[in-house]
Amino acid sequence: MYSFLPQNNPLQAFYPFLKMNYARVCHQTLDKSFEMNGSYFLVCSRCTGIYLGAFVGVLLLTFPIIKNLYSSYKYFFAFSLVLLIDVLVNNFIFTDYNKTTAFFSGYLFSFFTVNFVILELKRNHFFQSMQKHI
Amino acid sequence: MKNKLSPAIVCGFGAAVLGTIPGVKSFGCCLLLPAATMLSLYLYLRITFFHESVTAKTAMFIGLITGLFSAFFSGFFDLLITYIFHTNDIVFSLPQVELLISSYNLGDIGKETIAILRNMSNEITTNGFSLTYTFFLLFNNIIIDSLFGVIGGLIGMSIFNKKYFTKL
Repeated sequence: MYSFLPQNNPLQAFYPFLKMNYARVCHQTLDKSFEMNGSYFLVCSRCTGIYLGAFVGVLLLTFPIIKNLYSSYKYFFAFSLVLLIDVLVNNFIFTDYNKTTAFFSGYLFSFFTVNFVILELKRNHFFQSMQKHI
Repeated sequence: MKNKLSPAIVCGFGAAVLGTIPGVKSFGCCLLLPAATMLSLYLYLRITFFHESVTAKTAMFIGLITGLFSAFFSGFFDLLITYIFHTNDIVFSLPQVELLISSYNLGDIGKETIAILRNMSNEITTNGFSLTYTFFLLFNNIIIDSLFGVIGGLIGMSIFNKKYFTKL
């Protein structure tokens, strides 16, 4: 979101503090991050994929047609494996970090994880009990 | 409560230690904390002898306390290392950040930001401690760690319920 800000926007002054905020969960290496509008993303390409995948996953679950399509346990493990392989290949085998594969492995992993978790919560009637409390 | 607390302390401590090792974070990324919470949930199930399935409330609670312990321990380690070496990432990256902020031409707000960062950096290099830095560090750690802890708890709940408590 930060990278979409126009140049000379006062919100850009928060850059160092926002960067500190994400430092706990991401290495934030500039070589491994996407660049847009002259500024680097606050997280690396893999984390960008993870956040975007989770967002799209939640968004798609709101459409009734797509419900229950990707709820399988197998998808979760398959894409966790893809992510693990990509981490190992990108860090140990190839010297050049591939941002695209890192992004897509993160995206697919979080997309299927979010679907899996939300459908499991639905199966446990979590949302109904939340509504009762509200 | 004790059954939930001890795995959370162990895994929170483990996540904090792993987070301080240079290089580990580049492999774990934002998966380190959810993984620690999942392990914490698994240990809780082992302690309770897989007596009953994990509810979302329990998973979220274990995730939250694992995240809070991780935030506390990682904050402590970070402050300790900063105090010993009188330097940290903020001090290292200050020149680049100053250049970046100056290039944005933000006027007074940009100058204010640079002044806060310079003050923080000076306090760290002279005393090894900065109250502003401590506040930012703990605030960020508590928010981020508890959030990722809860997410990890829910993922763990989904996996373990499916694996151990689904009737065939």
